[in-house]
Amino acid sequence: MFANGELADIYRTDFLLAKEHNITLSEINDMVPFERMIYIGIIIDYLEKKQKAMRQF
Amino acid sequence: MLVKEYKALLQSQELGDDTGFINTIRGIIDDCLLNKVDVDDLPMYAIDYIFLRIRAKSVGEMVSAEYKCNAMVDKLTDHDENGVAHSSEKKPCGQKFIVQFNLEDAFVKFPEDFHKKCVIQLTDDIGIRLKAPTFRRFRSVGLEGKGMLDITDEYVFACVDSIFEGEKVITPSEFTLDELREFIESFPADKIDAISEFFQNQPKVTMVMTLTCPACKNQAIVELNGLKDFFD
Repeated sequence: MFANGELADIYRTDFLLAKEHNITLSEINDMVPFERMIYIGIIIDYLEKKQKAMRQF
Repeated sequence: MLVKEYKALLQSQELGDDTGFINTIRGIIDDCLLNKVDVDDLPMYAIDYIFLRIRAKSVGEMVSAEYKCNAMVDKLTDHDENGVAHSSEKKPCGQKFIVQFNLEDAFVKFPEDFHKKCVIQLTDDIGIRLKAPTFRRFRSVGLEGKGMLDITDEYVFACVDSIFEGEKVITPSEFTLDELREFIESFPADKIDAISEFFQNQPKVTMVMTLTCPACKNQAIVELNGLKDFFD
């Protein structure tokens, strides 16, 4: 119950974090898992706000 | 636990590599306890419990899992051309639903009178004291390329704390596996049963949940026993 398909999702998300958001894989690997989730939450929030601003513009 | 350790854990789990999995858990606990405790000397149930607490703190306490209701319910059958059912039969509900539970609710369940069952008295003054296997002993048993009897003997050996005769106490470092085997073979059948019972009823990490099926409203009590249940 802990890991149904979770590993593939982690790799996909980490690739995007490294490619699009300038966080290195080493930095991600040295985070605590909940810390990584906080960063992902902040980035999603940031992207949503950015998208909203672009639509208004 | 760091992301890299969590990834290593998931990798060994997906590969079905039990040895890698248990060694990864050992490494994680060792790092989180800042090498202040000798993890190899902890019993397996303590390793499981400490790992669950570390996992809860570093990934999250709440875990979601899918549960399939197995309750037997009346299901309508024999529909006519208008879709009206004329009879019913008992079938498993089969409804799948997501349950959320808190890992902090997990606890170590000790069997009743566990501490009394650790001591198996052969005569009035000769007896054997057993203990839950430590990680070091558990790992040293090694399962590859060995027959069931060898594994059983080695497992028993791993769980012997001491053998005593009156006030004289002998620890496992003072006898060999063959000597122990010979000693145990001299036991009467009821004492062998007592040893088997000790091994079948080891302390384990447990979590009990009461789940209610949204479809049939049946309540099921689900008990997770041991770390493996949490990962399946």
